[in-house]
Amino acid sequence: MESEYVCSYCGAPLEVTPETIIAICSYCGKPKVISGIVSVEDVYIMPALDRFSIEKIFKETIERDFDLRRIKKEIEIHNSVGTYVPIWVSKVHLKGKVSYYRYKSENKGRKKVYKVEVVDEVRNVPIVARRQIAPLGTNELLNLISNRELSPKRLIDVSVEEWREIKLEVLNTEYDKRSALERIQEDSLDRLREDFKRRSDGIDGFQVEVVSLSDPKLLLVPIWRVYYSYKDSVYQIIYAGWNGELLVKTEPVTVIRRVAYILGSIALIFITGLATVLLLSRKEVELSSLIFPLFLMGMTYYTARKIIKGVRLER
Amino acid sequence: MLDLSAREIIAECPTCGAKFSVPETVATTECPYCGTVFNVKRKVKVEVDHFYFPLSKRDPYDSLLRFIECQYGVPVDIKRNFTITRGTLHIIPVYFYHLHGRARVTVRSRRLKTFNAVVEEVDDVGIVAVKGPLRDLLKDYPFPIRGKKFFEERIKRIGIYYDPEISREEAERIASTRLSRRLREEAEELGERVRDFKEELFKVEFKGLVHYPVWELEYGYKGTTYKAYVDGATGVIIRAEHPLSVKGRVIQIAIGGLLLVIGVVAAFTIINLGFSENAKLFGTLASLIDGVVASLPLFTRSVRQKVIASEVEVIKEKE
Repeated sequence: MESEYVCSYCGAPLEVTPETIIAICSYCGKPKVISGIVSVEDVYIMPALDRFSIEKIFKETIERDFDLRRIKKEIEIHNSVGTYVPIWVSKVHLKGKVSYYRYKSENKGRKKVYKVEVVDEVRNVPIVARRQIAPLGTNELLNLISNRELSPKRLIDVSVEEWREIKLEVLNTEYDKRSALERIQEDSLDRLREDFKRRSDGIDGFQVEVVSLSDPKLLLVPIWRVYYSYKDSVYQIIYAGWNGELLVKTEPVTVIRRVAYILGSIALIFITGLATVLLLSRKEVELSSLIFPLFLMGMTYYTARKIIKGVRLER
Repeated sequence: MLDLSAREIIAECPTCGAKFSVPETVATTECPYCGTVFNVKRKVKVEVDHFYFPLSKRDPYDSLLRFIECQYGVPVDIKRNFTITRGTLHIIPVYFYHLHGRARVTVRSRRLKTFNAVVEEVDDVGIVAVKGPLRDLLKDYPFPIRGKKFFEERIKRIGIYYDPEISREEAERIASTRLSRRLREEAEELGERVRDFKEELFKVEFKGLVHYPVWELEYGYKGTTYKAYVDGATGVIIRAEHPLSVKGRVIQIAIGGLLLVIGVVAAFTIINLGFSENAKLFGTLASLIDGVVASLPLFTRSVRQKVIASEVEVIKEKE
């Protein structure tokens, strides 16, 4: 059942199983559409920036960043890894109504304030065409794709010479068109619901349906991760690989920030003790008011934890 | 322009009649439309439900080192002092299922009153058929779904081979429970209360028993041993322990100690204030406790020599 496929670029034998959708040549790295379930015409690629350009963009990021600028002399590029992530994209028309609420505090407790919004929109819904994917950066990448009109090239139109310039590792595609459609349909509603959840305190009613879905395209989208070292640790900045747009970065927590967290913890220890004394020396002590010192202790724990956090995430 | 076609023949599915191209040399294939496995030349259905995932050619230790090197807090000299101690290959049986469910629900909401909606769930799951730590490790692991091959006897000899400890029926039950629970959960998210719930489609499609390779690796760094699990088919780091740099630990312990002392100082300050004895007693107690609370995160992390990281899940303690 092994195939005798050869790479049409360099002639090396390709490893193909009966389930392969796109085979990647282990010698030159060129993707090749194998399975009859994805048509060559449906596969597109966003040509990636090369390592040199991305490292130049990285240096510009350092220059612009408030914290990183100050420590740039000690920052060194550890390595940069670029990969093409296979992503199915379809235009989805969503229609319906959503009722959600926010809490508003009043003199006696709090009250739910409702709002009903009409949904009637067409959005790009991308899903990663495989199951295993590094979590950091991927969601940001999908957000970018859904908010942008990309102009990808058909894979079939990429010449050997051009591939040499834009070549990166290509991750395996696992979902075929049919299962991509099923997932996009489900995902588009899930994501819209998440959007509303984020904007509100809760959903009261979600009555939205998928009116139509366009034929999905398979996009090979590049993502660049630049790992850099500072003192004795490694951090990373992740970019959209075709235009160098910043997706997410991790950076060291600077000394100034750490000192601030330490001082904060110290202050909280004093405040907790004093607050307890003051509460208990009132004439009438309500039991429920003792929750306040406990709350302060929680805050102390949270602040103290930040002292040792080595990495700060910035989007 | 390049020629992207290769030597292919047209295969015709004996079940649904779909036609699609396959490499000329393929003897047995799976219909992409209805999932039937059949012999291409004879056009007859073949009962194949046992597969394996081929091993990746990449050295698992190499994947591991590359991953660990880029983790926060790892000592810079890890590459120089990294020693390989032991590598075991587990060939683990996993039942693969494709889940697809749809339910028609009636939901009650405050503002939209009562309305009808449809909830849908699509997923691929792997139910691990062994018990013990390997099962816990791979419980929600995103197994790849493509790239498996028909089982061969030689696979039993390439590593520690396990026979399934749970039956296909039991695995199917676990998969079904998962699907119906997810449909229910999704329905509950639609409104205040679910009034009616009718399953319209409930497909738990068996995709085969797959023997999946997982590396259990051990490596040494300055006299301590660390353990890691690497996906044998894709090279992904499932879970890996790694060291923390010593310098960081010393500073942490010092700051932790400082916060404890601050708790005591705050307690003494309160004793010297002019309040009632009872209030002062609880006040000093509160600041002592708070000093301990504040130093807790600093001590717990610095005492730990090993930290866990993973390539596929975000581990909370890594923040």
